[in-house]
Amino acid sequence: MIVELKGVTKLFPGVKALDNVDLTIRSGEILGLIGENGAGKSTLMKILSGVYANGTYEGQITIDGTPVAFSSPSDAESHGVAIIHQELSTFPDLTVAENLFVGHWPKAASGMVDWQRLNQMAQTWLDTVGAPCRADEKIGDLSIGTQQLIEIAKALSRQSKVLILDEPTSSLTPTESAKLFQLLRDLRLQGKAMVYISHKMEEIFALCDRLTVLRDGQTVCSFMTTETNPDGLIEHMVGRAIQNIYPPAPKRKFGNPILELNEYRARLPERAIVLGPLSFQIRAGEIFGIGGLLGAGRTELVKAIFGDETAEQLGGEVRFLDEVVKFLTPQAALRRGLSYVSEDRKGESILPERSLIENAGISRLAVFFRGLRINHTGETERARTRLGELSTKHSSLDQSISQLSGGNQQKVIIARAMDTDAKLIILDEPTRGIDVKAKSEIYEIIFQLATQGRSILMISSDLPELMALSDRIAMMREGQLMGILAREQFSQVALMQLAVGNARKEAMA
Amino acid sequence: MKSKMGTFAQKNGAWIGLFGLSFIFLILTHGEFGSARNLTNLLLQATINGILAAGMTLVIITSGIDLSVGSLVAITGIVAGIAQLNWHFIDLGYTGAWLSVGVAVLVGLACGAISGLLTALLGVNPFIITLGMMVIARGGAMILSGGATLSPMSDQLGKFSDSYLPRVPSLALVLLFLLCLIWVNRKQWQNLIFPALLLAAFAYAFYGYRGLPVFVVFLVVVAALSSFWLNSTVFGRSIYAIGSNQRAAYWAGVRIKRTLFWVYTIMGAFAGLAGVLLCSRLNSADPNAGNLFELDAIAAAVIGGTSLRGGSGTVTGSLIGALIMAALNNGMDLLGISSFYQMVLKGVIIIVAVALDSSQRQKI
Repeated sequence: MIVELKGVTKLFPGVKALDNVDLTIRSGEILGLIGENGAGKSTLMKILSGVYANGTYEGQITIDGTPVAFSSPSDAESHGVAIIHQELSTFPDLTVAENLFVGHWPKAASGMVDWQRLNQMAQTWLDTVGAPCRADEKIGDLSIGTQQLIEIAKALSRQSKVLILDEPTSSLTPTESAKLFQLLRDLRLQGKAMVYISHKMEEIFALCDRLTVLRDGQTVCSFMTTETNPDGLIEHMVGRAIQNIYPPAPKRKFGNPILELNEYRARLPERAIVLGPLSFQIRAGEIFGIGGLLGAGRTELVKAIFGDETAEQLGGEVRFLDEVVKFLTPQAALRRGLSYVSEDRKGESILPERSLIENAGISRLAVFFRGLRINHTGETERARTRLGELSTKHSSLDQSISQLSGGNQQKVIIARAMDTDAKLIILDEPTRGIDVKAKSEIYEIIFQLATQGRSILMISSDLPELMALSDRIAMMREGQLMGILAREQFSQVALMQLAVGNARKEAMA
Repeated sequence: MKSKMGTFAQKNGAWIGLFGLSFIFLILTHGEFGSARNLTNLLLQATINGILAAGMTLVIITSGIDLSVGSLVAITGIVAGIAQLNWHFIDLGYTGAWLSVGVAVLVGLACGAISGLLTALLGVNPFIITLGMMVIARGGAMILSGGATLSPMSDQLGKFSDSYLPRVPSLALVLLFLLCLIWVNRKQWQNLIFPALLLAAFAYAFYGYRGLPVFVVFLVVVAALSSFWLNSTVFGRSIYAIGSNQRAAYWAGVRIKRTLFWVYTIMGAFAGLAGVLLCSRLNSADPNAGNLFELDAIAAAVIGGTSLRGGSGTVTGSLIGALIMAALNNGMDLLGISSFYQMVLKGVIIIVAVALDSSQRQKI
């Protein structure tokens, strides 16, 4: 089976998102769809999966030479095309089985749902994809990785022949990712066609047979994976040769300690994790990295320091600028010169539909502004300067932040954090889900901030990134600090050993 | 070109609705709808709902709701009536009238503050809190009045709803306002078309009838104040931020509890003002007054483009919404449509307006 998209053009108000794009998808093959954020990958896949209905774009989709026109996602699904979104769309309070067959529940003679058959059918599909869960568990209680497998099971149960996976590993642990890859390879053998969208080079090269690169809404090239290498691919993506996405770390002199934790212990009841005792200090101008696996308690730690209402301090102390502090609200932390960029851009950072000016300026206004009337001109100029420094791509400062790509949204949020003149900026996974070029720009910004004498506390799950940026790295595991390494001691092996803990180290030795 | 027209229509949907509706009534009533007297009357009818809608806009932008405003109108009206009759403010002339206004506004503010405090501190859904306040305040109005209507109010209080600025100064004021508007929007003339048309209609009405009603001045002050808060203060930015994404607002340092508290408190104060103004207009305080006023205010805000999901909306939009609601009542009265049918028609139009608006939004 061959699915072809020909001459696809999609216009948004003021932007040409796709410009005459061609794409071929074959059964028994994993096609990697590569491109920076904003290159048009998601838009293209939304067209293929019926999210953008036929008629809202130009161009032609054919399956085995027969033209098709999808009016909705369910229409596309009935033609065998299913999409698994980056952000899963499950019903968290329903069971796995209910989620799998949502809307297609088998009915008994009485007209009621036949629960026994439902659970049996579901279990068969769960076994097919190797999801480690029971059919009658509530889906919200399962890990993201398992939920992802269930989404795939759902697509398979509806006889999908084409599976579109949009950054499926962005929230998965390495074990979960490995499991997913094995499943995708099995599906390939069964003759399914797959489109795989990802920014992670290792994954792309390990998994995909063929690659198509999009840039600025156009097809740049298409080739077999064996014909290229990561450097070559990045060059095609950004349209220029990038030797290294990590800029060199600038020389800095570190000043006095800005943040200091002494035997700090805390608990976040909502997350059922106990932190510490933890001790470390961050000096002025230093970039301090915190690494670890998902669930290590890194985000919980910085939130507890930054004034999470639900956090409960159990002991020890936090010193900030030479004073013992205990921030009860983010507002208090911001006032003293700490700022925080969340890992969850959509849920905890952006004010959707509001303008860039409002998004960039909200923290400074909320915390420091004392006057009666906001000076609109001054505010606009401030946003213009800030976003200019960060070279944000936007058509107008009045446009809604929702219209920007992920990387540019993140820059606006960093502008917000800079705007309060913070001494220490906490960046939680600042480059998650953004493209190579924007990543590189954000690294530059981080170095710039450190050169100005600000301290950075950066959490990242991307070890190469953490090693390239940090002056020191602390590795956490299950709420504990496993060790702090200085730059000369950095190596992926050493850091991973700390992240997985001693037990594993002994087993390896 | 087509899309340009589309966005213009979308941005100005409420305006187009207002003028479209007026045009229809103008034809059906053979011009009577557009007489200076009727337009003035229409504006008087829109005033109380407009005041409530301005406050409701703030509430809805935070993605909240206030169901208690109708009952607050009743209880504050009753308190004003008690002040007039039992406390003998009626004998104090204009001082007494203003004191009655003050008492009503304070009582409304206090009730709103209770709703605000509970919503902000307990984090309970405002729907539930204000539902409780709705029943409590109605009961309170009954208790305080003994279930009876209090009347009459003083002549001076009555003057608030029945006096007019002289015709020439009225005309001058409207023109001055128009000039300000032109100056502010001098670079975006397309924003000016509808407001200018509306002001022209009112200039004609004020000049042709008895002048600018003092009653309407209350609405103008309330609307200007709300609009200023929303657009130019940290309070307003916080309101939009909370409605847009409350968790993001929290991590950005927005004072969520304080903002929510003040939003409901202000809504209460506006309801108090509306309550005493209703007494002035009816020359009595009725514990059954204000029934379903909250729904009219919500409808005006939503017709005016304020999203119930929060994060977007303007006071101007809600005022147009209030004018649309008043035009509907007024036009159908002129046509002699029975009030039973009016209710049904009004409901249908609210649903159609919001359905049109949300289908427009989805297309983008």
